Amino acid sequence: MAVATCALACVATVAACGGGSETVRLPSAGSAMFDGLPTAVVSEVLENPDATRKILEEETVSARDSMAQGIVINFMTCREVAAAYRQWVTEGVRPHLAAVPTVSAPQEPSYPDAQAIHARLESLVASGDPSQLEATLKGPSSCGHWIPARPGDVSGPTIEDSLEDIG
Amino acid sequence: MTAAAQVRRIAAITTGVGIALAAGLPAANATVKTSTINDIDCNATSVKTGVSIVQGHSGAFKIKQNSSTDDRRTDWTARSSNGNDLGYKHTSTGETVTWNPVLPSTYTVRARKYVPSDCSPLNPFSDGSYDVNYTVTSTS
Repeated sequence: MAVATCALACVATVAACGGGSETVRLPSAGSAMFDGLPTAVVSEVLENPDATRKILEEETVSARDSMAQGIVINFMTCREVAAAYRQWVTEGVRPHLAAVPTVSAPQEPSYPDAQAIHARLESLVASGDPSQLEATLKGPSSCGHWIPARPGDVSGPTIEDSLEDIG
Repeated sequence: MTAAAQVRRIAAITTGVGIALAAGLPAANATVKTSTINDIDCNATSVKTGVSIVQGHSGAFKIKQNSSTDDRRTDWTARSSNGNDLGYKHTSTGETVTWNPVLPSTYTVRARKYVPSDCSPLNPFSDGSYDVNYTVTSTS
């Protein structure tokens, strides 16, 4: 997996150098933007082919940093909401969602967006209707459409796939 | 305001709304940006980045292709700030594509040529590129 990620990064670097522009690199797991985020999720994102492609496709360093931080928080939030949705539907327990993790270097625009998304999710939970969470987890533009259900299982079911048995 | 004036005012507002709807103008709760993406490769799957726009509420997200070099067709998507893609839809000039519902986030427009081809057959060193002007409308 690490080899694949490195290869992807190298290709992006060559392409950028060929055009005479900046060298395109993935941020390192030790970057300040990841301070406050779980190391395991950061490592998973930096080894996920879809995630690394999306980070490398950003055109500036700041945009890549924002995308990287946003995707890590997205992985965390999407899995948490999926678990909450499943429990709510199957057991009737209205969930409580954890706050967006506090980071030492919040990136624009992804971190304010993550806070807004969390506030919206809380209001959906407060509605009392679990189906309100479905659009977050299912459908082509949802996080569940591309994020693996199990950490690191890039060829396995997505979060959306894992919810096929309910809802 | 007299009753007659009120009737005229309501008629004017109603007419204005009708004109706005007929002209396809965005609703009051929409954010609109118009821009141009230059040098989209004709014979490649590479993607060019356009403007970023905030989707403030869940709802429709639209992109209209206003014009393009030689009326070339374009494949569109947008990506949220946390990596969620809308999925590709294509347009010809004058056409609009809509995604709905699109969840709140900041989205960056992304474009590539619909069906890669050689736009510059007389040039042995390049397959050419084209420009596209577009309008993106989000729910604010």
